[in-house]
Amino acid sequence: MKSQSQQLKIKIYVGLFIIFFGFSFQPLTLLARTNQQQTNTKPDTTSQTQSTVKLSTNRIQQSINTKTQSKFSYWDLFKFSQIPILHAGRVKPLSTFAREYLLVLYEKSSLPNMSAEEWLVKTVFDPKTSQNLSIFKIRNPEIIDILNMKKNTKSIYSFNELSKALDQMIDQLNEIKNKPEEDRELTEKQLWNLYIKALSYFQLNRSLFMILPLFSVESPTIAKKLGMKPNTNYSYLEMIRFQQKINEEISQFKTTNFKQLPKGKQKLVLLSYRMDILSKNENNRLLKIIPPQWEENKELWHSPWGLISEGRGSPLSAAYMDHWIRLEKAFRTGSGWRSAGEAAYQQSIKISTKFSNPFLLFMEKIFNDIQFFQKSLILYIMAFLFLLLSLAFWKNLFYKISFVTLIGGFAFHLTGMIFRMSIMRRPPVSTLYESVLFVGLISVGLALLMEKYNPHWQKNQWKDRGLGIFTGSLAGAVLHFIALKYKGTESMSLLVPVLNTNFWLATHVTCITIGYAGAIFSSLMGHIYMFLKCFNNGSSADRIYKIMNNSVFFALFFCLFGTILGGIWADQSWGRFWGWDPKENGALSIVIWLLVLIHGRLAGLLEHKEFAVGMILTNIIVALSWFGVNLLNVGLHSYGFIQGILWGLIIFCGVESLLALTAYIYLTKYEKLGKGRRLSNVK
Amino acid sequence: MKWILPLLMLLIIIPGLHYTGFITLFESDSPAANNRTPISPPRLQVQTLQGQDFALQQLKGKIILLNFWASWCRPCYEEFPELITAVHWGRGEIHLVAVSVDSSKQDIENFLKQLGEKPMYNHSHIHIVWDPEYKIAKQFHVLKFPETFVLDRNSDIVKKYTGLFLLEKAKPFLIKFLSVEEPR
Repeated sequence: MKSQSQQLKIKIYVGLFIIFFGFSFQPLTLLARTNQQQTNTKPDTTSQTQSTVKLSTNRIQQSINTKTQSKFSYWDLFKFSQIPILHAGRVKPLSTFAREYLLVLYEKSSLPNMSAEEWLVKTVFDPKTSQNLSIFKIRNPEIIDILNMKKNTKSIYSFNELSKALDQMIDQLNEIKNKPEEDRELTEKQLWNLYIKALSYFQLNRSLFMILPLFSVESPTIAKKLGMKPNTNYSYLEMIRFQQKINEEISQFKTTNFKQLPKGKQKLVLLSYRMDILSKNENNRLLKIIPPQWEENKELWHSPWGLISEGRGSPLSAAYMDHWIRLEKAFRTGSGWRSAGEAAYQQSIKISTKFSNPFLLFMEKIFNDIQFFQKSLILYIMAFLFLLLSLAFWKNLFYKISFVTLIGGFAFHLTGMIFRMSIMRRPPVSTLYESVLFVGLISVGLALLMEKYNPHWQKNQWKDRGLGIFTGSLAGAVLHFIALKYKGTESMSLLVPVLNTNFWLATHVTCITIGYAGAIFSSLMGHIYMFLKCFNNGSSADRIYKIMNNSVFFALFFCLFGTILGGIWADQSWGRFWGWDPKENGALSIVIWLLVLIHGRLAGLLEHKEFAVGMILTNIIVALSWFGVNLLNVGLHSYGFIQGILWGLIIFCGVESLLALTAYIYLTKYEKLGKGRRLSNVK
Repeated sequence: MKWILPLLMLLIIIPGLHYTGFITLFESDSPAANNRTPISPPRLQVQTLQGQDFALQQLKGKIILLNFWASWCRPCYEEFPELITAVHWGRGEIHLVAVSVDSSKQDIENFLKQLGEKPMYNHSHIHIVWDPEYKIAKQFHVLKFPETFVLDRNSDIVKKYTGLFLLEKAKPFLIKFLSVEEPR
């Protein structure tokens, strides 16, 4: 009987907890998401300074007409996708580049039946066909209306559709362009972003145009004059050597009207015109796959076009480009792709020995493929569900499965963090995305310890078993969800210089973040304590109280230590130990708050329940100093200023305060009335 | 539970020490880019304008200016005298290998005639090479003209000048390779 009522209590409590977290985090993540959409829609392109150009003109005249390789296996692209490229200030494998690019356009990092890597291959090697792939996600139906496009269920459009629609809008786009950014309306901003995306795709599409066999001369007489073979396809690179001859030929009938020219000569003029158009790509700087050849600057990588126009080639880069030509041929003929890919990879490593590390490129490729954090999220959710199942039936079995699942999730989470740290060569606490994930990791770790060191663990008793799993899986899953919302903006990006690798950054930020995790964990313990108390579960509550009592010292230690280290860092970086920067004050306020609580308890001023209420409120303080400081939009700790998260924070603080207050009033009131009137005994 | 704090501290401090360079956990890949290894040129077997076989390796032990040009390239007119002056300035230690990508020999000869008296370019240290099919240019990844590579005494490429080569600007670099302290 007793265990049944116990179960009921836990179920109600679990339900309430879920509702609470749902209420408080859902708006927070929603707001973060809309914010992300606003800020994360700019693929890097320099085109903003250029004038608005029509996209659907200058179409590719000649498609590649042979049987191209249509399907790629994982191993076909394995080496190819590890080829280094400089993108967004960092050397990364093509795999990451493709994913990030697709994420910006499609909002997912793979297509329904195509990996990002495969998509990239098709985009650059078969530009014309790939323009029909539906990859442009347009969320706002208004934009679709403005563009006069047919609505489709998924709101995903191909470049062909989009470019035609955008070209109709060229005047409006020019108007938007001339407006200062702050005066643009939402739809205007979105329209402009869409245009920039399309333009950037357009550039990616053409980034290897110079090696595609797009030119041929039919007439044998003209071909002979130029020294070419008739009906043979030549690439732009090969055509360069005929250019002088072509120009000489054309100059002979320069003054004649085009229409009066014989057909063969018309074709020659068109050929020259097309070469001219293609040469416009020379300012295409997208696919920076060639490391610096002569420059001292490590970041001066070249795109194939850039190398031509700037004349920075060397025998090494020539050999490397030959491999890309081989890849193109393998793609076009549908044979020998894998070996060409491997050879290109080998050459890319040879040419960039000083600028990239093949092991890290490999690691990053694996990191991309395994998707550690996605796996850990799924496992956390599963652990939570198994725990709920264990309350209903087959206690022992489901409990064990749940525990193992949580450990599995933690293992993925930890490995992912280690991979990330190695790839980025910095502690995983430098961007909001990373730090949320890191806090999640620490919280789950603490929860696992809590579960393992449960005194009832060995005895196969059921007393407050599962609380650790509950806390861990919930904290892990929720923090993963929050982190995912920032993934697009923050993931694997570079830092402002002051935040870059530095001893004090490594120690200070790591400490502070562990401190946050400790404080959030203690606060969760506070929540659990209050719930257990409300439901008259004295002995379990006492154990939780003990855990809370210890973890608060853990949190205090790391917050205090981290803050002091931060001072030392600030002294070195900015020349002052303390500058009353909002972030510094935030960290200090957590330390002070924890000290107030601890001292209050030691002095006997705070009872258990008051201490627990204080712990619940710690969450608010942490949220304010962690996320809230970013709202102020001032200060030097700019690892991600977020706008639009304000309401989420307000709601979170409100819900937390309300919860603490209600629990406190409830406990005080019913303790006064004496035992026997508690909720658990009401029939 | 007592081990947890020291363990965590270690977890923080060890990466921290690595980042400052006190200890090395794994090889760092950020060497100074300026200590670049010289690039060895592809083996070339080409023909001079006069139809003689010529290989870069013949000039091993000399400093080579490997210039790519064409008669239709405007800056090349301005540049060629500079290159010839460089050869004279180098007191026998600098050789010029000028690779023309012109499609006809006649164009090259017309170009050279415009330069003035024959002895100017008819120097034992000046080698004019004809590459109408861009074979050499392709191997050096040269697509725009003029471009000039500097090869040291080991025949390794040590520098590249894109566009107009100006002796005054190149002197401080070239002088490092000359045995004579200060040529004229």
